[in-house]
Amino acid sequence: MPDLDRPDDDLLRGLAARDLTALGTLYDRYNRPMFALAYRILGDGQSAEDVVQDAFLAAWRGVETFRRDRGTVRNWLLSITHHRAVDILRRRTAFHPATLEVAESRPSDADTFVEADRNVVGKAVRDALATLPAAQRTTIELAYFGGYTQSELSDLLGIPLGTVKGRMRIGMLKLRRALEAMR
Amino acid sequence: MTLTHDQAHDLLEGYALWSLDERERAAVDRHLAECERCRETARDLEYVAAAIPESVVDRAPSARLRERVLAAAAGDARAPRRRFALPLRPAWMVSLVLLASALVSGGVAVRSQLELARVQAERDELWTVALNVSEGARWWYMAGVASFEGSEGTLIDAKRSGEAYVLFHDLKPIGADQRYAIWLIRPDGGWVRAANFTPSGGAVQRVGVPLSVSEFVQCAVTIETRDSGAPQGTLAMESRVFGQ
Repeated sequence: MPDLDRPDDDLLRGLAARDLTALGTLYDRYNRPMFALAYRILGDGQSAEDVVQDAFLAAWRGVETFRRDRGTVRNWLLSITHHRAVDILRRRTAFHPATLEVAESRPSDADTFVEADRNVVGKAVRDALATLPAAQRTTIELAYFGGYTQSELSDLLGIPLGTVKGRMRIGMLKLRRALEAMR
Repeated sequence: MTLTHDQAHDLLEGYALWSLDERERAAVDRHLAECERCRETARDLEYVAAAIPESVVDRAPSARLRERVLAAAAGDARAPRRRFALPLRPAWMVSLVLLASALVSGGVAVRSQLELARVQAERDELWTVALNVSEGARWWYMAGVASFEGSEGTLIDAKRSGEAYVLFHDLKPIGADQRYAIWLIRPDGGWVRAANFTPSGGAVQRVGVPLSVSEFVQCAVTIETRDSGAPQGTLAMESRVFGQ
């Protein structure tokens, strides 16, 4: 079977057997979404590349930590990328913007939305996010992409902690329904 | 930090979005280990959170990154694999440590009593490590990075006593308002603070780790100015990922 056609599960078995070809194929398949996510969170290419490298090495070394019942290989790699990027963001001294305006001015994809339309799944998720009221969407995006804890969001947005949690809860519920409707 | 069911449930959205501080996250993890209902809710929320990165438009890294990743993995593949065990047989390790201890002790006859006491303490620590290893302990090595080069730490998970600790060598002095923080890192990349401490000034220092290390895959040490909260300070040491 050509490497490009190898299923993800087979590639993971390759990683477990220390097969670099399998890692190369996995890289070719997922490096772009992983880099895009890290770049979206960190805002600079060098740090984002470091995170992607780190994430692939974590997968290479810890392939046995993949849990099929927790999602796909793509989800797993993106999850590792997300957590490592956020941890780096939090480790940077004084990374927290003082104002909401600054926080929301982080890199976005507004400049590449035309290209985005080629990606049906991506568009569906963006549409689902777009259906959320601005307050809920902002809270979720600042948490996920901005690396803010709920307490930090309470300070940043000037709202009670309970309101932050409420916005997340309702926003996630609506997002779930929107995603299910798009299946 | 212990949570009631309602408190844990209240944090699950933040948990799925990676928006809790480390203490809250660790507390939710503990609750999830015992609560099937919350585990199910967390799985549903994580499914939703997993869709969020799909909203980001793909972007290509530099062409060099592929080579970097494969070269790093190839170097890793050539390195001896340390899968929760020593590359040496434990009995050999004990012998080597004893031999090293004997040589160290033999060479200090003309040194001061103070120096002798220091070496004795170091030998005792090494002996403890050797015993732990011979009894099946797991261990992970951390090397100092950048300006902390020369410092070393080894996390020992002692099998018999169930006690985990880090044995540090040659810790660098830090500022009066700073402390070293030991971090354990989960497979998903989350950092949990295991302990804070200040350097004793001795060549060897032992610091207890009051957590079960079995669910973690890596450890690190940073310099922090606070006793709690997420890692924000300089990285001083880092291990390779466990489980290789």
